[in-house]
Amino acid sequence: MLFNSHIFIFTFLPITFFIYFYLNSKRLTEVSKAFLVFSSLFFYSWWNIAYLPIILVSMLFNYVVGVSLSKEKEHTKVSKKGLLTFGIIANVALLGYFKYADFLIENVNLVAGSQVPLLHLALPLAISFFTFQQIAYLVDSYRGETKEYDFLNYANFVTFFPQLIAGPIVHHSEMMPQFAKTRNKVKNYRNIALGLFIFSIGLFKKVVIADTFSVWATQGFDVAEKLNLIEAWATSLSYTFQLYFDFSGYADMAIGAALLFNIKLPINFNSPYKATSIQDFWRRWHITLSRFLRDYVYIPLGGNRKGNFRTYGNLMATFIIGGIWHGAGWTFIFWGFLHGLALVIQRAWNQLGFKMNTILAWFITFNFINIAWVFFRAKEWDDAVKVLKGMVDIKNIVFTNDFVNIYNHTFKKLSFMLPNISGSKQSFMFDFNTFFWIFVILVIILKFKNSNEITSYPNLEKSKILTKVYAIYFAILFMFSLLYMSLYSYSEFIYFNF
Amino acid sequence: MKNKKNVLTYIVTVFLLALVFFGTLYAYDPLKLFHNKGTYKDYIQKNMREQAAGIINNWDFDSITLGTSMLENTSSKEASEQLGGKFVNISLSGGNYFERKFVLDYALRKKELKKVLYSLDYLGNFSKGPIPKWSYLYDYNRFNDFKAYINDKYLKWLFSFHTKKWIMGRKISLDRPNAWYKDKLSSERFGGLHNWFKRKNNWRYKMVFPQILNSIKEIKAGHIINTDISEKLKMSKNFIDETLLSAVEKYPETEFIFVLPPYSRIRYAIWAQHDKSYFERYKKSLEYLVLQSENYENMKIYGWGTESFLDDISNYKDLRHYEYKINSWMLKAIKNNQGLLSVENIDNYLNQITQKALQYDLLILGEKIEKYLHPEDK
Repeated sequence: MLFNSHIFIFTFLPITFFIYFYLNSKRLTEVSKAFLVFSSLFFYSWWNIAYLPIILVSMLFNYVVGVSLSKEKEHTKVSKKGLLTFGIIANVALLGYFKYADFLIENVNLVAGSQVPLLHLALPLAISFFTFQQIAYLVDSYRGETKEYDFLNYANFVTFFPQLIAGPIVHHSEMMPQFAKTRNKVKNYRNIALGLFIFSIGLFKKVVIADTFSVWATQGFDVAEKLNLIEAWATSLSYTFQLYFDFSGYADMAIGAALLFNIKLPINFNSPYKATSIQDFWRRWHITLSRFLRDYVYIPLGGNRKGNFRTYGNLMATFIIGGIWHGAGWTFIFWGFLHGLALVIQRAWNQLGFKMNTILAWFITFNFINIAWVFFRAKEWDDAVKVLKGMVDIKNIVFTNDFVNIYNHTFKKLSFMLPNISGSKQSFMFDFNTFFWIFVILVIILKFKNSNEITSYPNLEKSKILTKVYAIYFAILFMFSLLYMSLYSYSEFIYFNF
Repeated sequence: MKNKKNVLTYIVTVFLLALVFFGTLYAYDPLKLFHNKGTYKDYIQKNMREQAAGIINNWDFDSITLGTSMLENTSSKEASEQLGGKFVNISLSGGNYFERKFVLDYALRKKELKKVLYSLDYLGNFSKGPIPKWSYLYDYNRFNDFKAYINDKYLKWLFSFHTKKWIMGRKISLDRPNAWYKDKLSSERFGGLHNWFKRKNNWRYKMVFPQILNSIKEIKAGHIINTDISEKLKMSKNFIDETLLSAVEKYPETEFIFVLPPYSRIRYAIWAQHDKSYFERYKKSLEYLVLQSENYENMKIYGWGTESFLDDISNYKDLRHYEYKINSWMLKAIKNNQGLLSVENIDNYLNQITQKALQYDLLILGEKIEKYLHPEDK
């Protein structure tokens, strides 16, 4: 069930909400928790019930291992370590089997010239997310940092539907106490109001902005055989914006839906395209993944504690793992490599004491991110090469007739110094709207507050939008999005594939 | 309390906006799905697949003509005069049996129909195909009918300051709303083969001429299609049961008048001389249907394949489509029970159409077409 579907918005979400709080109002706390788990599993099974046993087995396994790890006296240190290793290997093996088996076979076949048949396994939804969350749980259980062992709370931590499919990647320490808290069992109208507002913003981001850009990105990446300079930039920027609004829209909807149940999910985005360095970007983009990679990969590898070269190696390894996590393909690995390399360069730059003008730093960072996304999006190397080739093909500048008309009738009149341009063909892919919206969205991204800033999330007590005017404003936003959603077919979120 | 009010404000605003939105759609209702009132009373849309739902919901009638382009020129006024009842023509252009089943079932459910005039196009050639996108207009749920307006075409106009006239369709009588005989592109093609030639660049003729010539070429080469039809015939019979006879059985008070469109003799000749498999399936399916008609008093089948006007190419604009005068003639024939097929006469009928089809000289027609298309070769 997609967040941006009528069935979710008008049936699943309200029914789950009312029954959950009804059960709580009758003091049936455990039943309400069980109901929430059931609802989440129903939500999960809506796509394909065949996935259900996988998440159930994974959850039970990790709960049992986690509980065993946390019982200090019953194990020696060595056996606990062995149990943790076993737990992690089992999780990684599950993920590896479903997500990476064919990739591995393909590459082995390529290198060894063998003909091992591919498995063609369907990737169970959300497996990357719930596997990472549970690995964190096992590690923390081993470290003695877990406190809550009620299975229903654990099940809610793993399956809670707002975050189940595509994150944010939640941490047990921030989720399980919330499910246990008595005050959270009562309807909270401030949370409900803000939840509805944030959900409306997310829905708008997804169905109005992201899905509009997705049309252009798909045209450029998947349909066009060749792109000229302007088309190539329009393609890459369209995807850059699509990805951000798609994923952050999803995160907003998840945060909004969770807030209805008095659960605060962690922030996942903080205006990432305002970043003025690559390190800054990763503090703003998919924050919960960055947090996971930092705490459970980078730091255990030694972090920055073992000298410069080791630090650089750790950074590269962490980001390559981040790339692989997104998908089984060399383009993802290369994307991770590029980001790792950029971080290494930035670190060396800082250590050498160099400074850079903020605007120039933003410009370089933004363009690096934009170019790196080309590898992230491309289905094949050839697609990436096609777009990148177009982006640097300065000999092949073709203005669409629409663009030429606007330019000659508006900008050109403003200054006699501007050169004349002439259009040589009508682009089949992009019209003036594409460039107009790229410009508008760029301004919005850079100059306007993001959804967390607008709503003061997660510091809700500071929120200044709890007024009737804003309620009307967000209701209009919601209705407008619904209309858009009804006009076009539902589209999945990009991160559902990871 | 303040936050409760905010939540309420949000919900009430959403509700009010929804009310305005659906209210506007309801008020304008370009397909007349909900009512036929207001400034645009009696305005209807061209797309009969959708429009038929509105007509069934909100027009007063007790009989329907549910054909394809073969019956689009049939006048409801004439049908009512000749056959009795109060007809409307809701024929679907190019409609197949599967599509028409949605409309037929809905009309039978919603109205106490006295008569159904239904064309048996390409009998024996059935396909279920995907569920039509517009099928929700013919289900039990009226609320989902709003979906018909949730698209670029309608929303853009209904919520803009543009005049609504264009989007509301046209005010036209339901006598034969989608009749095509008045269209110049159609009417100028009647009168003989020379008028087909005038339109040789028309896409239809780009298909028709090669189709005829190819069949002739195959006949000359002795490549006759003559495969086993048993499986397809079985499917055809099942389809007849599901699509036609089920309705006949379920609504005994409704009279079902099934008509075989009188295609040109060329059409029959190509089947009989080249695609023998299909012609056999056509005949066997018809035989089956006629045999079944003995079980139902409320069902009649008419076929005019033996009439001489089929041999006159000037009555046709292509291999199938005939002049509107023939639609009128068909109504009179039905009234007079002319062409009524029964167990007693079906064998004779099938023999006659086969003989006539086999006797038709396709080679001469082919030569004429070749000569016209490639005069330099002759």
